[in-house]
Amino acid sequence: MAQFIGGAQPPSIDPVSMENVRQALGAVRAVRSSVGDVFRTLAEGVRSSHESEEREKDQDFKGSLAHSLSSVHTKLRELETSVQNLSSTGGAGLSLGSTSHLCQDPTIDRTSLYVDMIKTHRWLDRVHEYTSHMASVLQQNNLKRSNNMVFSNKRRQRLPIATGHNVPPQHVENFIGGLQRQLTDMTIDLVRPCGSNAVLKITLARTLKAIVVLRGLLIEWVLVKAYHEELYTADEQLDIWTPSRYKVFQKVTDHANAAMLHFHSPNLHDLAVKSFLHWLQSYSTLFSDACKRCNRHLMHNFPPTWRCVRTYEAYHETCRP
Amino acid sequence: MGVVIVHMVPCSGPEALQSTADNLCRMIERIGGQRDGVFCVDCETYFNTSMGRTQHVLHDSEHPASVFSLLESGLCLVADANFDSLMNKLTPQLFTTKMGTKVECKGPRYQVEDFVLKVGTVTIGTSARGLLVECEYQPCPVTASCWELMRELMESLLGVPLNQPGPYLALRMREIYTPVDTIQQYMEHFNVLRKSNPVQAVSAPASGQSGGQTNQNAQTPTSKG
Amino acid sequence: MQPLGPAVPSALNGIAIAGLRLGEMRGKFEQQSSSVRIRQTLGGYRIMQAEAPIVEQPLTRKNAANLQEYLLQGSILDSSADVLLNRLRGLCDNSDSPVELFHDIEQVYTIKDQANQATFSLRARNALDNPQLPWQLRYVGQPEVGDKSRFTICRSVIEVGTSSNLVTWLNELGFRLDYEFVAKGHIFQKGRMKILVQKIHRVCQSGNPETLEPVSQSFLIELSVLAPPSQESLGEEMKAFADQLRPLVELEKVDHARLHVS
Repeated sequence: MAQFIGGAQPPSIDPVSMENVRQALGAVRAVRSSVGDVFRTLAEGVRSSHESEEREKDQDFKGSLAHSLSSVHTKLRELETSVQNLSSTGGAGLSLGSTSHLCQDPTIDRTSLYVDMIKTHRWLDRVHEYTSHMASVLQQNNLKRSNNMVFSNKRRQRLPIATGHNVPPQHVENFIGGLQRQLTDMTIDLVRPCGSNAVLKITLARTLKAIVVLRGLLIEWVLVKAYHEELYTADEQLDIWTPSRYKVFQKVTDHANAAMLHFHSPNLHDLAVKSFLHWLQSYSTLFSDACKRCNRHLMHNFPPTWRCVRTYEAYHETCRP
Repeated sequence: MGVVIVHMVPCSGPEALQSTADNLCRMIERIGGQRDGVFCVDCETYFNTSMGRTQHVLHDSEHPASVFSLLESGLCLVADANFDSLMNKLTPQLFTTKMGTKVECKGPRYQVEDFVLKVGTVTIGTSARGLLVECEYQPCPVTASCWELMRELMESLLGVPLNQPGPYLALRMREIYTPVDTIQQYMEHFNVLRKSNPVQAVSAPASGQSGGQTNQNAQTPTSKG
Repeated sequence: MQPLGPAVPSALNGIAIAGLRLGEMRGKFEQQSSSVRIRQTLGGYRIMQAEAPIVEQPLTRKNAANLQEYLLQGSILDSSADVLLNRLRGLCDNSDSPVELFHDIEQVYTIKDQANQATFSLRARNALDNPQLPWQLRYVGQPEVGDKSRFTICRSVIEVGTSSNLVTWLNELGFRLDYEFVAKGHIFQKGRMKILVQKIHRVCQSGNPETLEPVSQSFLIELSVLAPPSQESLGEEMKAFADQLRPLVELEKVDHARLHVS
């Protein structure tokens, strides 16, 4: 009975109301303990050991009960005043930290920040839920890709951890600079529009422009556009999403993404980037190359848009070996 | 803005213009051309006789907000649409035009994947003089890179081997293509068609030339394609 | 004829529009938005190509509306110019954004037609601070000043945005450079009115717009509107605005022909 659960003490930024809260909690504790006393007195009851003293005892018991009851009464009054203190200082119930200020923004209709935040929270919650489900499911169905279980443990230790995504920016810069010297008809601009991850703006001869989004030295996204298409949106943002207006370059973008996956290797990440860029360089003659197989320029009104990943030879999409 | 080649289609006589144009349109539709409207390129020539200067003012429906002023030297000024009002102010005090010298090239416009194909009948004054095919390959900005590609398309459409690019374009094969280059090509063809009399305009064998002295009125119906 | 004597008034006569940059502002009047168009014409063919071509109406606009420029002019001493600029900034639109500056060179080209002894002049204008902007070719007609009922000068003006080979083009057509000047100043917009506060400089060394020398110790102020002819309400609108600038500057219609004589 006299045990006290600390209770969810509302975090408050205001030190004054903090003090009030503490006082109120103290009052609650006091009320509880005095009430506890009352019950304890009652439970013990009148001790009936000596009949002669019964009357006296009875008197004694009544006195102690009345005493503890009155102490309950005073404690209760104290609690009431501290509660009043609390409400008068206006501790606004549950505090949301600085997010509560969002509600006070008069232009809440225009900035949907609060709503967005709530949505984000919900989304995160859901992601969390799904991942925990997934983790349990995956644990139950362990994927075993190799049969030689004997070596698997040793091998796992020997394999270096893939660090392609986590390469210092300086190294990326040096590496791309080195590649730039090898690829003569290709100009590579390295920009970092958002944080430390690099985006390569590539201009290949007078044929095409490409955007390659890197994460460390892993290629994450490739977009190919015409030489005369704009890479920036009207408000000067690097536009890595809008596809080319021309069907040829939409096809080339598809092939480039396929090649990006083809060249990908988790451990030799610099080799992957290097071979991808060399492959991309073979597109400098996109419009002038004839198909290696049918020896024609046009097939269904398209030039040969596919390049062999090994020999860099030009083929129509449907003529691929 | 891609590369544009304007090519004159040989046909056997003014009467055959319309049928040749129709055949060509059918061919384009067969290779997957989607018709999306019509196009028009026109050219008005202004003379200043006392100073001996000539100015061609061209419009192209592909660049509807621009007016191109082409001088004898080949200099081309690109201006906005107000240029027409300016010419109205300067005419007739400074410049004069001759009746029936206005050249127009009109016809359907097709989109075939990344190509834009236009089949235009050229009329000078009221008489139909020739047939031009304009082929634009939009993704490529340099003529030299995609010349073979466009040649293959044109040859498959026209059924005849295509000769080398015109004298103007031949000098600029390696430059970045600009809309002025299109205008210059049209002007080249318009000049050829203007100089020739109505029937010699036809660059085809002499078979169709028996009716050599066809007067302009006789040809009017052909122009109303 | 002294080289500079007549140049000043005729410069006055001519400077009206530093409008190369006004394109954005001028969206309201379709026919005038030359710089918007020319930007498309020169830089962004793509924009126009995106639209389906329109051939229903003839491409040559024979009956394009002739625009009239309604113009008031005045001047203010350098020492008081700041007061005026502040007042204009408060009165005009976009008072929250920084004042737009311009620095243009204008060259006046004339041609004499031997046949009928008529003289034509065209003005080529280019922004020195932003050579990427299109050049501007202007035709300015004879002002009508005689009409006492009108409050403003009224003259026909045609503005054409062009590519940068304008000067060569004019020379090849037989036009010869008459005089040139550089205008530097501020540009304001109020509704469809345009207000220029500018300093006129003469170019000491032809062809070198760096060697400048101010023509006078004052700024030239121009209040102008380009609109179709016979818009009488415009005069009232401009008068009301001019009154608000008093007594700092008296904007009135200046008879340039008389200036030439005196």
